[in-house]
Amino acid sequence: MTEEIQKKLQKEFELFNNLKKEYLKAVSQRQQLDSQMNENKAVKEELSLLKKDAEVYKLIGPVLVKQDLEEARQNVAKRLEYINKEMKRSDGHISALENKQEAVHENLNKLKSNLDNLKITA
Amino acid sequence: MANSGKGTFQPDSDVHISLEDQQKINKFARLNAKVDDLKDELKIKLNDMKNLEEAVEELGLADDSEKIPYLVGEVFLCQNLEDTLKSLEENKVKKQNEISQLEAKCEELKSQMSELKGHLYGKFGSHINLENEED
Repeated sequence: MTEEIQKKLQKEFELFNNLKKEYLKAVSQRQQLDSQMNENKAVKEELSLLKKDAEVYKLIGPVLVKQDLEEARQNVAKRLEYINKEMKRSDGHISALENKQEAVHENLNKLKSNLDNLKITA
Repeated sequence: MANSGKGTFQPDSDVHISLEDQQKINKFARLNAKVDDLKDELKIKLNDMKNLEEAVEELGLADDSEKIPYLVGEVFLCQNLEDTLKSLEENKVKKQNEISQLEAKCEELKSQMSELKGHLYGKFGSHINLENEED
């Protein structure tokens, strides 16, 4: 009986570790999205302060390529929209992982207490 | 960076490790760390390459009349379209050489690691783990 529980315990532990890895990856992705959003927000503001005849350049590799002001504004707006969507999706994913982790944690505790009980009654 | 562990060794009481074996294990760990560093460098250079190609693409739509600022070190040099494209091509060739060099170095280190792996697995079998935890 103990061996069964120990095997279950090991499997559950593996699941716990995998979930944790996934969770850390998801959180780090979310942080990256956050910094991208801030960067784009700053650009959006700068662009909004410019006069109609201002020259806008975009750094692509080592080259400063001239951009149209309106086009640049639209590109940034589109990018911000995409980032916001991705952030919402990422938040959902993180919550789901947190719930899964809690469930597995509970299972682990249950299994461990089962094991302890068996040891006591042995 | 979390421990993406390669080379975990569970101390078994019935397994004896000679100095030579321990040195091999240490060498394996050193090579593995070096390969990880090279892989990071490679990622950066491949990204640089992608940016260079993107720049060439964007300039395909640019007109020939204006001077284009080209970043060299800390300053921008204004060049015409033709010279800019030439500079980009030169940069790409240089970058590709750097990438090839890094890849070659990686392969060399990996083959050294394979040799050590063969020996260590042969000696210790299931008492040693030399695999990368792929995420």
